[in-house]
Amino acid sequence: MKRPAPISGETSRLRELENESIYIIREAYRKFKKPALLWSMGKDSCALLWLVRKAFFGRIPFPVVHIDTTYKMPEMIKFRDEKAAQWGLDLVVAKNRAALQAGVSPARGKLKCCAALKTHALRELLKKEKYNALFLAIRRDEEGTRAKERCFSPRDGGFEWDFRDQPPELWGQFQTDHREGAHIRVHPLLHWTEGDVWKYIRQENIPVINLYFAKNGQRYRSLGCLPCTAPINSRAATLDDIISELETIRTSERAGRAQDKAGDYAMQKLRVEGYM
Amino acid sequence: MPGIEIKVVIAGHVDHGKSTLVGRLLCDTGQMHADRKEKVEKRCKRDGKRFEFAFLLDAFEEEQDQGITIDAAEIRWNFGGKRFLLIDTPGHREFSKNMATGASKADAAIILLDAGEGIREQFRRHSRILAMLGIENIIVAVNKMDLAAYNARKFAAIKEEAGAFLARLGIPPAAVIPICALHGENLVQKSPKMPWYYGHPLAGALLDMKINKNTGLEPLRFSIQDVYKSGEKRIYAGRVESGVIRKGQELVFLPSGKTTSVKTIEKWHEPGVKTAKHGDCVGVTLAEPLSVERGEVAVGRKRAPAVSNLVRANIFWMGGQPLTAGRGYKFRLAAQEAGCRLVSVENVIDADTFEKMDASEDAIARNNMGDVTLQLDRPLVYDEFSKVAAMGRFVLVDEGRVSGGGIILGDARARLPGREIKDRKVFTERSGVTKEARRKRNGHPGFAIWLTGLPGSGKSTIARELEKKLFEAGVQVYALDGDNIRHGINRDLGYSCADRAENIRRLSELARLFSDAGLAVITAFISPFESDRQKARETIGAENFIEAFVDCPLQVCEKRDPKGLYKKARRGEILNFTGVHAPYERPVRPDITLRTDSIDAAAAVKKLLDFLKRKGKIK
Repeated sequence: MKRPAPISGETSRLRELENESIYIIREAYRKFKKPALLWSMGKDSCALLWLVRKAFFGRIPFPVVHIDTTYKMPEMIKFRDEKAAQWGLDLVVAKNRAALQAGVSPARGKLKCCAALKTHALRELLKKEKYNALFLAIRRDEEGTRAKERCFSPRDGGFEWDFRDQPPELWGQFQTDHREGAHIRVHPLLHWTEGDVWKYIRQENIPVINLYFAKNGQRYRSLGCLPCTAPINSRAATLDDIISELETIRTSERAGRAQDKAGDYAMQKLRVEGYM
Repeated sequence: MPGIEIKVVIAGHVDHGKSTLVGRLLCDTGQMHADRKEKVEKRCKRDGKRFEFAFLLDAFEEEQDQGITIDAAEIRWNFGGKRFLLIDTPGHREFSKNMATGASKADAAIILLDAGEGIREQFRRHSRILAMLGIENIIVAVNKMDLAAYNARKFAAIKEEAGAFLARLGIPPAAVIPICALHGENLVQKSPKMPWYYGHPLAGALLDMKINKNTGLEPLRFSIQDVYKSGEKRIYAGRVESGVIRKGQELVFLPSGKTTSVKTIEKWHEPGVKTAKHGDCVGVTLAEPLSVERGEVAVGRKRAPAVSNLVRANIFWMGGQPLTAGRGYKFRLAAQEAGCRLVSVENVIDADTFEKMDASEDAIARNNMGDVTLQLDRPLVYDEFSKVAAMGRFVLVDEGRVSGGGIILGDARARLPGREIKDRKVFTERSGVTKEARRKRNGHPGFAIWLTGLPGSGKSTIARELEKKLFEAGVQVYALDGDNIRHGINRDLGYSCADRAENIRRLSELARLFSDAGLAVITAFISPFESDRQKARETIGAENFIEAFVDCPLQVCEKRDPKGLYKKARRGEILNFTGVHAPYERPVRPDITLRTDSIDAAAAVKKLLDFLKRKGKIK
């Protein structure tokens, strides 16, 4: 496989990040009987899928879950179905049908919508499938409460995150025990930055949705539901453009995500209840 | 930009300004996103407060309401062409576990002090944790100099006190810097308000730090995390914890002792990998497919690690229940896991005074530290922390929760608590009856035959037979074995390592008295450790001591299993059983070896009698 020329000084750093992620992935796969991976088709979870294949020498030995709010951008669903077929994914799509029928939508309250169509749908799926570990591609630099996350982060049976009393995490020794009905969120990309992810995508030639690349002076920096996600003004049409754009950008990655701004401590409130 | 990132933990007492420092550093170097700043501005305006830099990190509502940090935050920061990870940690005592979590990955530390308050409890606790974690690159920042009127003398006094404290812990600071985090003084730029300070500002001091990352010359430790089978191929996936692994290299797997060589090093999408170094997560295939499990550690021929079920360690305890001798824990090191018990606490550091406390309670309370001896239910592979850091640190799990972190000081076997008798002369030559007189009357000198070997090797059978034969030959003889010792004089002892050592010590003293009295004494105890047998030889006197090694392979002993003990041990009903969970150290230079897998008890006894005659012990 032909690789792009490495960015000076980045190869060893990306290798360090990759090693740590692979260790976490293998550790979780070994410790948990029924893991699953949460795939949003965004750049981070695509990088995570790639790392899983690295960890298991090409295989993806657990199901890949997409929580479909039905408000996703059509390009995302197309990408999902294409890649699922191409990579032979064991794809599980879950929706909160009851809430959708009841007419829950962003227009009737963004936080309520996220909680119902994402958090609740995920909770019901976990109950049904009895997954006891969930791989998620969240990162510390995305947002303040994520900066304080653990690599292995327990959620109780009620889905709650007890951020006041997180278990110690020393030297790659993670919290792996959990009560019946509870689960562990596994965060293999926690230590990566937005720039790291793009550099890794470039180095490894990982396919991503073209919504990330600028068209007519706009691109998406973060992908989500169509009504709640805004593109940014940008001319970055290639991976190299994106990487250099991030060196100087003055806003945060999730600035275009409406739910983050739906009131004070919106993300904390969502996340304590089990949001990603 | 250089690839490797320097990880810096920010430590110190509550309210001495850790989060403010990090927030300010990010803002002053233009690395805080505008929208994050706006959010904090809005919140502070609402409350009618000045801008809180700490809120940039303290993202939880509870943290901002109470003005505290609950959990550590990790933030990337670039400066002067170097890349840093700043780990902001909580100062409160009850969140010490979160501080330790943050500090456990650090290469360096900034410890903050409030110029007005000086050294406080959490400064001391955090410093001790940093010293324990082996973080040697320390910068002390004396904060809130504005409230101390930028007074040079005040700074000098704190500098001296803090410097002396840290030096005593073995981590003297590389720099002590007067700062005011709130106003950004001496952070990135030198402050004109402190012209008496000649050193670097904080950011410059960070750039100046020399971080010794691995040299690549460390001994190889490849820890097996899992084994994946794909078709015929077995891939042993693991992490190179130290050193370098090479294609074609010979490997010894521990603790099993199996050997083979590296056939290939495997990485997905990267054919032809020839080496992997410290930190790399790779797979290897082996020249011969071995049944090697998760937890085994592959090493080279030289510079072997310890394989032992005893560990001497320095521990920081974070559990809700104190660490005590009465409870069972899980011990985890790299990919290894074993059951574990606390044998003894050598010393405890008091939480408030930081003086060494009396360790007679054999317990360590939450947020305290101490030196301990741990006993594992099977031997694991480890190194001293100072030699191979990654293989010398571990966690203890209490009821499913990671509750303690420790670093290994060494193998505990050499330091087991034993009540040694220092001056033996006091007790000898007191009797009016001489050794020679006793020898003449008995017709033989006093001596001890020390039988050692695995359970089931035939020690007791030989002891009984030999006692009978010697008695019939007119020798004054007595055999000491488990039945008459364990149920009598030693019935207060159990099977912990300390008790085992004490058992052997008393046995040695008894054998010494018997042989002193002119008797022939036979002992039939496993006595698995060379050091214990060496001590027995010294106690009894080398000229009267005969070490008889009852040598029989483990498989044969286990097949015989005369008391059904191996079966019980395999079922987990007996812990710490020699041969199954605990090691047996073969005698280095036994006086006589009896191969009981090839000769029977009668032949072994004959061999012993011939030996005694040859040595002039009997006629």
